[in-house]
Amino acid sequence: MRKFIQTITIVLLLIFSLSCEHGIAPRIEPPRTGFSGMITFLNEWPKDVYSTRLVVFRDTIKTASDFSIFNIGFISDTIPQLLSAYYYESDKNPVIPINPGIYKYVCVAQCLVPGISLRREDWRVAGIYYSSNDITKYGQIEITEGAFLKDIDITVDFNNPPIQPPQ
Amino acid sequence: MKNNVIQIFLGLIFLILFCSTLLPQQVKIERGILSGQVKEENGTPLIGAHVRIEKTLLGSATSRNGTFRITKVPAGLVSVRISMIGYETKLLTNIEIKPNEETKLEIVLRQSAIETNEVFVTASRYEQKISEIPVSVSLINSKELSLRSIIEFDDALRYVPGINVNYDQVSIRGSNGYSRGAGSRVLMLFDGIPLYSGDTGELIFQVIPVYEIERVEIVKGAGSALYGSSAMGGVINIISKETSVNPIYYFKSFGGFYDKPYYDEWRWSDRTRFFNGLTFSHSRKIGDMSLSLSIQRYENDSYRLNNFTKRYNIFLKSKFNFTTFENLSFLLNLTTYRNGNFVFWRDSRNALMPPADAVGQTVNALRFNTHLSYQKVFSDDLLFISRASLFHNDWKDDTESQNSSKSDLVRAEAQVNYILSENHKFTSGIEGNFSLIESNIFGKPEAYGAAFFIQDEIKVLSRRDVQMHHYVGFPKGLNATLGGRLDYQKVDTAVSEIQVNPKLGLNFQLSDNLVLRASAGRGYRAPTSAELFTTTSVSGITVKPNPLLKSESGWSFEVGGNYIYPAGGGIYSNPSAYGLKFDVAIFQSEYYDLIEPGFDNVGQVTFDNITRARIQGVESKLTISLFDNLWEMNFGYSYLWARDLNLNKFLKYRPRHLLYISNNFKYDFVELGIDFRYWNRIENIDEEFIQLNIIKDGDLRDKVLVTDVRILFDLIHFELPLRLYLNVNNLFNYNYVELIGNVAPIRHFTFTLEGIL
Repeated sequence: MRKFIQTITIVLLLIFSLSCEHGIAPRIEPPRTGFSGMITFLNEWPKDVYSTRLVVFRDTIKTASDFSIFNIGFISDTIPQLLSAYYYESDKNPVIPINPGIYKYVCVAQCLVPGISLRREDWRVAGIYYSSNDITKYGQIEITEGAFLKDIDITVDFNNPPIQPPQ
Repeated sequence: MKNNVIQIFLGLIFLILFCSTLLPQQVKIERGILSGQVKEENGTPLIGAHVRIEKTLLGSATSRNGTFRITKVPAGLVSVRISMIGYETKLLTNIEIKPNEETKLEIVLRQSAIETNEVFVTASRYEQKISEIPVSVSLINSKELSLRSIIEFDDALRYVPGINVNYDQVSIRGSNGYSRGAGSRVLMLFDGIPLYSGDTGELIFQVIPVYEIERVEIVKGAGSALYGSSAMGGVINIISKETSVNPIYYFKSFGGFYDKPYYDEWRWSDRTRFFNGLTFSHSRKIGDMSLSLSIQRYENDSYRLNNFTKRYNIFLKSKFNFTTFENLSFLLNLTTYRNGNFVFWRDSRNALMPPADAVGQTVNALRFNTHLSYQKVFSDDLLFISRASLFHNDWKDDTESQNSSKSDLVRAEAQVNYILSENHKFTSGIEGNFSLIESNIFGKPEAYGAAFFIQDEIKVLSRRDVQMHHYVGFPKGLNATLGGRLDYQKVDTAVSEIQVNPKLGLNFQLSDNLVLRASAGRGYRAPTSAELFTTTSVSGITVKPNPLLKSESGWSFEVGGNYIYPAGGGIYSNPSAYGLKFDVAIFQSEYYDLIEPGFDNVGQVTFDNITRARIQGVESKLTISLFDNLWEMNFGYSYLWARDLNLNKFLKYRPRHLLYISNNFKYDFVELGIDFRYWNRIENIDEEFIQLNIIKDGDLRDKVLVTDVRILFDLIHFELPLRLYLNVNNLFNYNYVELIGNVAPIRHFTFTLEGIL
């Protein structure tokens, strides 16, 4: 009996000593990953929109089905209405945050319904990021872990919207 | 809408009362009184022991000095059963009751951790000895709840082998993952009546008045053959305390505080975070009616920002004995509370704070359940029970979408237990239910259903046991139970369904020490209105309805055994003697069409029948009692192999290893206890929440290693009607999550004073 109690006591002490660990711990804040830039709005804001957001796609939208959750890489928080310019940072309250990768279509899109719809017909593209001011080539961004791209600037001209991707 | 539900409920009550007048009445018989006192061996009165006159509905709980008095006992020879969990059950036969005279008994119960005669009602809808049940069961008694200073009922389940609680959702043998409030594969009953909300089908633990619990019976494995939908993984039956015929005043006051978080980054408040509660309860007899009324207030600042709770609860239970063989009982349990809305953390550096936009959000709720139950013993062989119940839920939050829901669930059932012979018992019944919802996220669906169940138990005893009819050790022989249930369910515009759920159980009492068992049963769960009709948008995620959803189902198989030493449990007197009980079960569950939320091709969330799963495992429990019951040890270990067969992955939120160790040492008026819980790191979680960065650092998780300690000073030994408890939970301040983005309670201290007058 004494041996039994000794064994039990040792087992219990061993098990309880495991509890001296402290489990999960806060993660060190990682270096910023993402991008930022200035959005410039020209002319009068349209009145039929519910929200304006910066939206980033992995691939260029060639068909309506490319406007899907699987192609979307980033959706920003709402951009306040009626501004003439807005400085954004991708890691400030995104709806869908950006992950490292290559993104081929970066745009400012306006939603025509309340909330966030993922139906193509509920969105209008108001401005696109072009590389080197060449409006025949969509600007591509490459996000890498721990790196923060700057100057991803977009101009939105409400009187001269870009060619809309397929509905 | 609400008027309709109340009309239906009142109609059912009227029907029960009306039927009771139609049933044949017992002829007038002469009666006497049985009174007495129940004590421990050392002379300490036992409070709350059950004294029951067999084959009648008469019984009482003992008062603060251990006394009881039962009137209207039929004259002649009666059998009296005295039971209290943690003590040997005693059956006194041939007690003579003389007409118009009082018979007095002095009863001594011995403490025993190793008990074979405990009575269990949930497995078969009638009283059975626990050793005769063909499935795995567990029992929690009110003393354990007090010792562990349980405030929320789900905390009590965290110490049961084979059960893991994921934040606020309970899983028996891996049946549940985490469904975020939509449905449960474990059915919770309150006094035998299903208690889940009419809208989401979730188990709402806040409504359970822990201080009114007599015991909790847990059946593991599919229980739909008797209880219908949701009982796929098992059944938890919370049994409230008997009303006492002697006046009892009870109070409980507790207070405590949380320690500082282990990491300085997590400190969000300079103020100590307190919690406290107060309960008053009174039980007495007025004429032929016994009555119990409790009021409780509970307040918790919480260790997390915006996670406070303020709650009030009123509990009323009354029983009216028409005759020795006929009674009517009524129960009302009302809870109102206001909680901070803490869904997940801001990130791992701010783990005790919700995202900034959630700070200040609250949830307000008013919930009540009420039932009326009528019982009649027609003869020694026939018992009739009918019940009507209503569960009302009304909650709303003040989030951006202002979610709100009101639901009413009305149920009615009638049951007959018929003893064809001493070894042949038959149970059958019918059930109906109706629910109405009014919600801005679930719509206004109506649901209704009906069911019929039947069960037959045949006991084949060996000749020796028939002759001896002894109560020491297991009576040898074979118990065979066969049963089944037919359910019809229709939820608004969804397709109606008929479900047939059979079960078979075998219990083979091989020797005085050893019992083997085997069982198979089918379970199912009908989709809830929330899963069928939810339309909402939260944090950029849109949830859309799926009215084509159908029921999920599963089969459970189990073989097990129970060994006890010495035979008969606590029958030993040598102070150095020891006793042990070992139970082991091997089980397998096959689940089909499990309902899970998933993203469709436009990124909207919908519930669908997508998962085919298999869970296999082993569950064992060892209880050792040393030094004449002064030291009790419990070891529970479960191994789960829970696979999603479609994805060939481990099922979400299921631990593979579950270990519980509990020690309780009693000396004179002091009891010391220590509990230890271990789970391995959960292998699979909702990855979508991490990938979409909805829960930042949501993948952060570790094994669970929690140690709780306690000390009780039982001043009843000094004839002072007081008990003092000190509990330290999460002694080593171990940080863990049961649900992603939710740190479980950090170290906290609780002081409790309990008094009985």
